[in-house]
Amino acid sequence: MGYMQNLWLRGVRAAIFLCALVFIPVVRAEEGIKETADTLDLMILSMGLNLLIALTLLWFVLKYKENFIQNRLFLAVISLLFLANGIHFASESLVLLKGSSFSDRSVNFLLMMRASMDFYTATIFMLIFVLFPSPVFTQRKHMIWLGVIVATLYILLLIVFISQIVPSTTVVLISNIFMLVGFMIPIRWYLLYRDSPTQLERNHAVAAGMLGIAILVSQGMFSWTSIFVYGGETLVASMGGVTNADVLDTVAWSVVFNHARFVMSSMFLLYIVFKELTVAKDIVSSPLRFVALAVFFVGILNALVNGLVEDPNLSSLWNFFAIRGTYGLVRPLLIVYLLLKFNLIDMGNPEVRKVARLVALVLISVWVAMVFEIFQAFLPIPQLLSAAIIGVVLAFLIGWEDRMFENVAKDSEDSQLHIIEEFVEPDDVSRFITMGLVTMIIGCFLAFVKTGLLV
Amino acid sequence: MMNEMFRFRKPDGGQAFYQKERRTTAFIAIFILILIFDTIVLRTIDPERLIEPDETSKDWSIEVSVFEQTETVSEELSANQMIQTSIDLALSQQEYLQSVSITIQCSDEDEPGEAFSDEINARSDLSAVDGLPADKDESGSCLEGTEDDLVLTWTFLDASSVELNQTDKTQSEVLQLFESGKIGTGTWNAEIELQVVTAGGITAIDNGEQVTVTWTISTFEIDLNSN
Repeated sequence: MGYMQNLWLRGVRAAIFLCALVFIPVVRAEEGIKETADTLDLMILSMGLNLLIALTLLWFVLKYKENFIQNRLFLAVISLLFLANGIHFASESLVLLKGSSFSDRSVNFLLMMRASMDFYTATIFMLIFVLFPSPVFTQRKHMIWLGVIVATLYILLLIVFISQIVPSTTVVLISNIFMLVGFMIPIRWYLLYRDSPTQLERNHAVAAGMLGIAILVSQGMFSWTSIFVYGGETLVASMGGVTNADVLDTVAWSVVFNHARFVMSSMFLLYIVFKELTVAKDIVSSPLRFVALAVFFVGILNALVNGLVEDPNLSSLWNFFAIRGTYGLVRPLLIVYLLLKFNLIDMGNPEVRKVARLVALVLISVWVAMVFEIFQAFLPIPQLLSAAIIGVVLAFLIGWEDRMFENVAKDSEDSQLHIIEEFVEPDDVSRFITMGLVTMIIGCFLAFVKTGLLV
Repeated sequence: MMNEMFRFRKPDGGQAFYQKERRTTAFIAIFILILIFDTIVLRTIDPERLIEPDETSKDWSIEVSVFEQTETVSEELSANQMIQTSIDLALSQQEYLQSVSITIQCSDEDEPGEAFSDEINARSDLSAVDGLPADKDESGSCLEGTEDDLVLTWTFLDASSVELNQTDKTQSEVLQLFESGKIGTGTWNAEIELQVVTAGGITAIDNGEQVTVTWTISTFEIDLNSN
């Protein structure tokens, strides 16, 4: 049986390898003189990846009810986050692909829907930090109330923003205050327990650091060099947008408020880098150190690209990676690592394991495609050659992925977290999913109202 | 256990609040300090520095607004006396320099005849001007009744020479058309000397004139609208 399975796996690998060598070059060569460096490609890849992860996690949550309720609830909220991101990328891809044939109203609707999904993901951050790695509330009545409050806050702020009852700056200020409070949850946990003598507490701190980077990487971590603004002004703009800056004589307050989030997440990153480099050898977390250092150096590279590169093609591709790629490509990678590392999905189940492996394979393929897309922007190489290289790299990574997967997913002392048995009622998971989906639909509906498509 | 970990004070250890939370407190304090600094910087910085240029090719219509600024110096000069005058020229982000002129007026009202017509000599010193425009050294006669006796002009960019509708260009490419209007800043110096011309040396009736020097700086601002 085991031999057959192994043979089947080898067969799949060989098939992928051959496809990579034969079909990808043909498809890419078909593009002919078309510019290969295209942010649209990355956007569509991000959309697919986010939707795939969202639906897979929802499937895990709904099908495997024997998993711990605490884990299921976190997976449910994470799947909502990826679903919102997927809709965000779908809206934007549609505008870029078919925008010219749509009416102005339809394009505005899609753009507004993208904005409301952006706000949705920002609101859900707090819920995620409250749930994992260490649930702040350990009783049902608190947790469900928090869900209701977050959903109400999202809808209320969106209505206020759309109807302009109060200046938009006030909405930005209020939402930023809530987000900053939410950010402090993993930050405090990391600060308190990273060098704790208790292994379990340290595990929570490492998970908080990893989740903090996974979520806050989209909140300016790649622009940490702009923490003091000087020398990084353009990065401030690229991350937050300069609302009305070209109209007013001074930078709008909304930019200043948004910048507060970037300062906090950049400080968190710098502290993690410092801590992971100075912590005692026997309690070092190599993955967290690697991830923190990678984000740190990408930040330096980001500043260099913004300051030195004049090629608009490369700049736009890089900006996509450094801004939207943070939640389209980087976050899925880190979250999948977290799910595997801290056993949030029941990896003992062979069916779950198979699906999880499939997600990992898609992740690898998307990342390879992205790296080559950026690579091709500044080093033009023939299409056939680059496609062949992608194929070979993929084939190697797919072989290597197997071992990596086993290592990450194995049960070890540093992967244990507190599990609360009577966390919430089993029905609360579906309640959260329903509430999240309904809130998402209301968000899209409000975008519909805003753009006047109902009239 | 989980609830205990979240408490601000560990019940068993009995640590004081500030001992357990000192890192969090320090983190928040540093955050607030950086935020105050960044807020001051962001609110005082030129917003243009925060806007990334739009690099997509479009059709543009350009609106040009021309402004003129003058500065006048007037003195009574005797023979071989001179006026030393200077102006400091600076351009804002949106401003472009069209031209700089020095107009010298001297009305030789006391001259008894043509042989008594005084002369003025104007010399510029532009060594402190960005782009190092060429110095000029010119002379003119103070003829009675003429408005301008000597005009020295440096033209950098004639705004009317740029086509106001540009097609398929990026914002930077359009701005590049106005690049030559970005030089000329710095200190402009000039010396204006009066030479009294008196036939037969009869200085008693022709000993000096009122000389008026006017600097005229012509700048313009552009407004780009993508179609």
